[in-house]
Amino acid sequence: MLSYIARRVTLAIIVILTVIAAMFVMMHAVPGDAVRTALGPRASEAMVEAYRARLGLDQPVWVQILRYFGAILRGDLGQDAISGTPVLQVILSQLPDTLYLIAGAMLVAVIPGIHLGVVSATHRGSLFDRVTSVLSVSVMAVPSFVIAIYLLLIFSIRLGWFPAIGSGDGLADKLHRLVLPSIALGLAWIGYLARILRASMLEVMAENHVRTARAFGISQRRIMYDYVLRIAILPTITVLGMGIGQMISGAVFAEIVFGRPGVGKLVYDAIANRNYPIVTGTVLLTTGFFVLVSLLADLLIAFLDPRVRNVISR
Amino acid sequence: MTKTATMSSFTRRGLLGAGLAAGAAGLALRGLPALAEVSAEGGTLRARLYADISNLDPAYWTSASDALVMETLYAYAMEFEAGTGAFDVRPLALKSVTVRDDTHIDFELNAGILYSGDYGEMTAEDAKFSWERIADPANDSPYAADWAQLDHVEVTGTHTGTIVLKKPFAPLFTSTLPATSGIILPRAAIEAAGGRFTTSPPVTSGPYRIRDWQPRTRLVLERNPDFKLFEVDFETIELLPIEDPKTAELGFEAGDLDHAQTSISSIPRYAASAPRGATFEEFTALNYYWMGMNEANEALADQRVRRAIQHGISREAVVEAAYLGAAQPAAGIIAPGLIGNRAENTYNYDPDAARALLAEAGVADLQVSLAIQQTAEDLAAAQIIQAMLADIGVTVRIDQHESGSFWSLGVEADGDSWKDLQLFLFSFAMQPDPSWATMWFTGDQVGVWNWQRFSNAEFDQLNADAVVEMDPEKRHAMYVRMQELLEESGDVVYLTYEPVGTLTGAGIASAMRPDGWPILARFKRG
Repeated sequence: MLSYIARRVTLAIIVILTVIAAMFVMMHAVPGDAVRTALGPRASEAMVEAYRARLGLDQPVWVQILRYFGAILRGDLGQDAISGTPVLQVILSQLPDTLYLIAGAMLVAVIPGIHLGVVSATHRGSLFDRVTSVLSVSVMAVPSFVIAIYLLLIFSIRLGWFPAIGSGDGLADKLHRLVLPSIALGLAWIGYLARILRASMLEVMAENHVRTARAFGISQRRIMYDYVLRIAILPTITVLGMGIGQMISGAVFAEIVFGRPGVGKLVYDAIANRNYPIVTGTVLLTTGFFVLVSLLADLLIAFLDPRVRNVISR
Repeated sequence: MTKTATMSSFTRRGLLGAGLAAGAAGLALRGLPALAEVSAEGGTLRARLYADISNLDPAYWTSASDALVMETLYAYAMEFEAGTGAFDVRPLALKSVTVRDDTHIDFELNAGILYSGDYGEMTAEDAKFSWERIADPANDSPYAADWAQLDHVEVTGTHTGTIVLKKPFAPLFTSTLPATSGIILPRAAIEAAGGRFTTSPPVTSGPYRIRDWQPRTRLVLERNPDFKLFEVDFETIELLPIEDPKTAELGFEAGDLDHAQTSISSIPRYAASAPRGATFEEFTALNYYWMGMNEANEALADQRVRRAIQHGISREAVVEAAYLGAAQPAAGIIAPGLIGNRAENTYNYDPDAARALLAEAGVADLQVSLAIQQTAEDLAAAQIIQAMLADIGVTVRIDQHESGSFWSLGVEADGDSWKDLQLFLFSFAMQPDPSWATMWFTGDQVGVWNWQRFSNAEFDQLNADAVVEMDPEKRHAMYVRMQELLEESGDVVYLTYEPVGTLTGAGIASAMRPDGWPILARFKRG
């Protein structure tokens, strides 16, 4: 198991380095940099060039990449090209709000998604199953930002139940302001998870060990939750692991529409401003986070499924 | 210039716009009056900031948000009066200003203006340090031009001194002393900060001071009890960085904001019906919007071709399409209310003349590209231009660029894309002095911000002379002439000055400049 983890961590480092190198190349392939934004339109060309040199942007891309990797090893992600604030400080100031949002969206998605999937599978072909199926496809088909707008219009402006913008102060206020963005981001995942779990459960329910369990007279509820769900949940865990990565991307729209701070919007703005240190720093951390979550998902699957555990051990 | 409607009651913009347009039900909901009452509760004014602060140093600030916040943190030397139709200024930190002659301006500071911390009282020595700091080429301040003619500041007493200029300098009282370059800070504080600072001012002197800044989340300002130059009504000002105006509109309607600038596309809707209890105000910004033509591009090198394009475009139609009736066609780049505002255009819509000019130039089936940013206004304007130029036989391909790419298209230092640049839609912001409008079209700006690559010796000379001309009538004539020369070159089609719409909540009296710039410290209750 330890060697498996070591292999995965090595792979993760390679993935992160590759992503960073690719980011550098892509960013330098498009015109513009943050220097003019940082200095304003009235800066002379001499000032622009001097500032560019100070940031190291006058160096060849490969030199910049090597310097950046060297700085990472020293724990230095550089400075915001516009404000001069350390990148790590900027990202860490935004990260909690994005993590809260993703956690909220996961909660919105997982609890109803799993229950709907289980009930649909156990009541295959019923009215409930058919309605769930239609609703699942419907919420998956509607773009999340449209859901976000409607939530705002109905629950913030029309009914006044929830604030429209900002991330709030204090736990209660933060949770209050988290409700609508979490629903907007997580709603589509309810249907997605329900459908994956339903399909997976139906497959497992047809397997021999389930029939054997039925033959032994074990209760239907116990069979579903102890024998079927334990196996059927595995693809869902994998999808959730991948889903967190997608939610980081999806957080951008929620952060824009709901006027929330967060790393999604941070990197979106940074790309527009060609604020390379922020872009690379954010990509580094979010890629690391994504790789870590994927690793945890794989380990969780190994923990739940002895067959996978055996493969890993070999 | 202003018009008020008071009722009794992924691009970012594209993302929200698409959502809003997604269904009739949603639109119907928006048609209902907002239920949320907007009010300044607890002595806090909550307002939208266009973007987060990035630099609050008067010598190095970068964005309009910085300037907006600096106005609350520092006692400006002079200030713009709110609520007037003109850009009238009056002394603020300065008690009096006396123009002894064109190059000697005597000033006296109000006594008892206290800095934060242990930096004591504002003195004439501080004024000398601050203004000379910006002017000093060694400090590389992008705003050195604001003090371009400063020779030195002579200190004659604790609170008195004389600004000694090398030459007369007209913008001194329009965009230097009443703006960021007029801010006075103590030498000790700046030196303690290492000569410059960004988002943590080592010292403040204005009506508010920073209580809490959470980057990209909120900036909370609290009343400065030591500030005595005028009374402020709000104990705190909470500024939320919201770049997208549609998000700000929703936040306002939900009661999360007390003051916000709206999107341009929402101006007609709010002008017709403001949310209940809210006041909607409409202004004409100083921002000027035009279509430029790169005369260095082979397809546009013949002036007759550029003139044909000028004649082929109806400014009225373009402005109507882009600004939905909220703006008027412009005849220049200097906004109404400023010296140099031009009343009449020279080359107007005349498709027959356009066709004749193209025939005379021997050009048939001309194909050009029009570079625009990813905004609804640019796209609407570009599509109208495309249709009108098709009518005279010119095929226009619209190239949309995200902002980072767009702003480097004509910059020589950023590559060779300037060579392929043909038509482009441009909008520049400016300060309330005409020199800010014309400075980008000089010969030395070719390949920097002069993407037309317009080069005219008379223009350059006038641009230099007008800054030192103190007679308003002569100055006006000089700036009008510069705009004539620019249009005469065929390089530009003047379009409009951008409209600004603002929403202010019930129980709050806004304090606005004629261009829609909010003077937050002057906002009042009731």
